[in-house]
Amino acid sequence: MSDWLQNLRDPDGADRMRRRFQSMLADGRHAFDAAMTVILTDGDPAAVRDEVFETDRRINKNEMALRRELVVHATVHGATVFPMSLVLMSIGKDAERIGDYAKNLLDLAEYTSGINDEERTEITARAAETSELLRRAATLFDSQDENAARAFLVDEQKLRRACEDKVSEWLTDDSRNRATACLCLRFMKRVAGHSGNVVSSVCMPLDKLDFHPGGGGDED
Amino acid sequence: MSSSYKSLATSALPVSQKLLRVGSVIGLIYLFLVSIRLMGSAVKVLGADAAGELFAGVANPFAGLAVGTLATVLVQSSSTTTATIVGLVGQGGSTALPLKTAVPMIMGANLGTTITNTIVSIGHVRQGGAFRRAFAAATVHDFFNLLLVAILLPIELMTGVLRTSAIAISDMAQGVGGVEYKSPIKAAVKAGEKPILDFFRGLNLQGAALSIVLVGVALALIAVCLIYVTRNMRVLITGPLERALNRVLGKSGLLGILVGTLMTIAVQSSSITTSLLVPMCAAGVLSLRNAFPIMMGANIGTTVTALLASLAADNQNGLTIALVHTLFNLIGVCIFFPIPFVRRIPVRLARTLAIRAQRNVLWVLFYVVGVFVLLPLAGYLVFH
Repeated sequence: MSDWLQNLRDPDGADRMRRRFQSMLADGRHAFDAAMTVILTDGDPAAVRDEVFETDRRINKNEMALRRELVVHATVHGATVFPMSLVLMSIGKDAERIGDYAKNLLDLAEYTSGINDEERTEITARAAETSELLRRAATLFDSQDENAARAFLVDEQKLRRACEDKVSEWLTDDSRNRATACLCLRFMKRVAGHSGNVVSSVCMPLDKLDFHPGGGGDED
Repeated sequence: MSSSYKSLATSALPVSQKLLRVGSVIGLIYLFLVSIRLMGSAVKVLGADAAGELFAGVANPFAGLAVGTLATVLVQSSSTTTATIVGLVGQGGSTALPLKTAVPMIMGANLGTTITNTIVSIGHVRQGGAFRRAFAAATVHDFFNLLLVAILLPIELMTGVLRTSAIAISDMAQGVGGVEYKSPIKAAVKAGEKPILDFFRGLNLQGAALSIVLVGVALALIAVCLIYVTRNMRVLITGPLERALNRVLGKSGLLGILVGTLMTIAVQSSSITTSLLVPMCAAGVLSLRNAFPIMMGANIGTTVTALLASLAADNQNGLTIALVHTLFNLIGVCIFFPIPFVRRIPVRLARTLAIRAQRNVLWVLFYVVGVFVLLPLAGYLVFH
């Protein structure tokens, strides 16, 4: 019965789905931070493995629930909500991918003994920026501030370029094997890209979702 | 450049609009009751002999069943059919449609209404698995109603159990405290009918011509009122509707019946409820097993329209036939819901038909035309 009482107090469908999506973003950031902490502190991956995988499962469950709710929402409200449903369907996948990359990063933590100080410093800086982007993405999705969203996309693009430039530089260096460090930056670039896709829903029309106001976009 | 998500997300209905819609619904329900009464008056104008001749054509129960089905298929609303039947039965006097004749017509209306969601499911015809799921969701309602009629019509013809039970209940309802109760609603409806009758009498229409015009006006008003009540209510209850559907997605059983009943009472249309389920089943987010109880609930909920219509009836028979409709569907749930094996029968039949329909679309054509057009038409032609 308490379920039913709660149900009566529930927000409308769109708000409910927005909250679910927010929780996916928060979980994504949590999983990312946990994985990066292990990488950057040479910690034991097993210590956070359950936590990261459980968080990812929660994200996946939320994505499935979000899709079900979108079908119901579109069925009840009709054609007028189809575009909004398409947006949430698309960015829901982005939020879900962030959890996957957190798992990938955790897998990399097994090999971080090969990372030197220069690489660690670079990865630490980019990890902090990526985590901050994830925080800002959640806030922006809530506030729907278009100007701030455009500023976000500029920062996100800068971060992706920085990661890409560093990866290119390290890959041409034959003096040592930098595969782990390169993969780490590559995964972070992808996490940043997915956060950018989410934020593009704030300031871009539906057909230009995942693209940048200046014409650039998530080229991966 | 406009924000994508922000501009697309829906906003709640303003309070002024809500109030306007609530007011419209109240007005429309009043007009609906007036038109039910007008229907009875239209037949009264014909006189007892002509009315008797008219209803003799549907005296055979199978012809009555066929007429109920065909009429509902044509107007795409069992509520319109059942409310009209209530109006014809409840008008009182020698021109009333006999209760016994009306019972199979009510059953026919139950059958005919299932065509709407079947048509909705055909929209998925090019989508393979989605069509199979959608068509199964639509036809499980058909099979439930077909089986119910196959079970209850012979029993009713042999024993009259539905009719006698409904009479007993309406006797109890009417005889509470043994006091003659003058309904203010009935008085208000009567007052609303008078100007319409006066208007058409003022046109120098008499006898059969007046009757035909009044029947046409009453039918049109009943249909229009129900359509707009449904539309307004659907807008008014989208929030609770969505929450209820989200709540029932992964669940089966009594909760589904309750949700189906309440949704249908709210929107005054079982077709709306069942048609909402079809796309959800097509998308795979609602299983056929979980959709079926909601459809059974919709069958119960839709009977409220006939009960509402009985408020405008002159005599107790209006309430009695509305109660027959309710009892018919309640008994249906009691037969098909409690025992899992029995509950699976319509589900399996629907799945089997849907698999065939997915392989060969001609099954859809044969099924829809056969069940909803040819069979009732043949039934009417043979038995009337």
